[in-house]
Amino acid sequence: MVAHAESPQFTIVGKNEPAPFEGVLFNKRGIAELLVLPLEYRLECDLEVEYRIDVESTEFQLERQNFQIRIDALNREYDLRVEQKDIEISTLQEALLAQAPARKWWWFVGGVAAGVVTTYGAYRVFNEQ
Amino acid sequence: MLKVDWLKVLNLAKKNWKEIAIIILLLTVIGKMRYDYKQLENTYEVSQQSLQNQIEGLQDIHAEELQRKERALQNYRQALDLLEKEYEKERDEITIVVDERIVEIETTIDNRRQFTENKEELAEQVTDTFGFQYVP
Repeated sequence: MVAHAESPQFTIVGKNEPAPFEGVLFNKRGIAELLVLPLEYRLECDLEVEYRIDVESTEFQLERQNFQIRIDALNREYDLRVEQKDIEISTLQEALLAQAPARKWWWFVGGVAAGVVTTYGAYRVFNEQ
Repeated sequence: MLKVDWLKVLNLAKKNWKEIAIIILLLTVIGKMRYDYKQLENTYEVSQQSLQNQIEGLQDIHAEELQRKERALQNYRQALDLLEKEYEKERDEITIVVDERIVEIETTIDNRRQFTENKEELAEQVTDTFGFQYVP
């Protein structure tokens, strides 16, 4: 059996064929590749773990950014609504103040007078009839 | 020149005071109603203006939010592309490292004659790596 250095090869040998027991025989390339397998798996595992962590971290970063953007937008919406409501309230208050408190006694007296006049007028009208 | 006989006017007013009172009251009520309506209209306009401002503001905020999210998504895609490239590069590097190590083992086997004179060296390596028992 001739082993080629370039490609990994193996054969199965039987007892006394010539070997102390039956088993598998690897050529130089074959045993070299087998010996390197643990290193290769470890390196690939490390790389895979690092890659997955990086991907998850990037996704988490995006999610976090989206939440931050949403929070900022909601805060701005809240500020806008409060600001507009404040303006609305202050404008309505001005309109209300222009009418009510400063002249309320005049309105009161005018109302009483108008009531008296109306009652008296009605009394006179209906009394005459 | 028109001359007003105030005595006649006074007599007329006295005679028709009820009609005059009704007209004055009617005008007062109409004036008050118009004033109240105007106030109500102003209130409505203020509310409408406030809502209009809110709509415009919300539209701006929403547009900016979408823009920022789009930017974040672009950054995310760029980062993923970069990671993918680095991953492929490192995989190639691993392949190189593994190939180099294989060549190194082959060379050691040749140089140290581990298939003939120094079998124990290779056997030790196999035992260390896989825990197999060596049977000479």
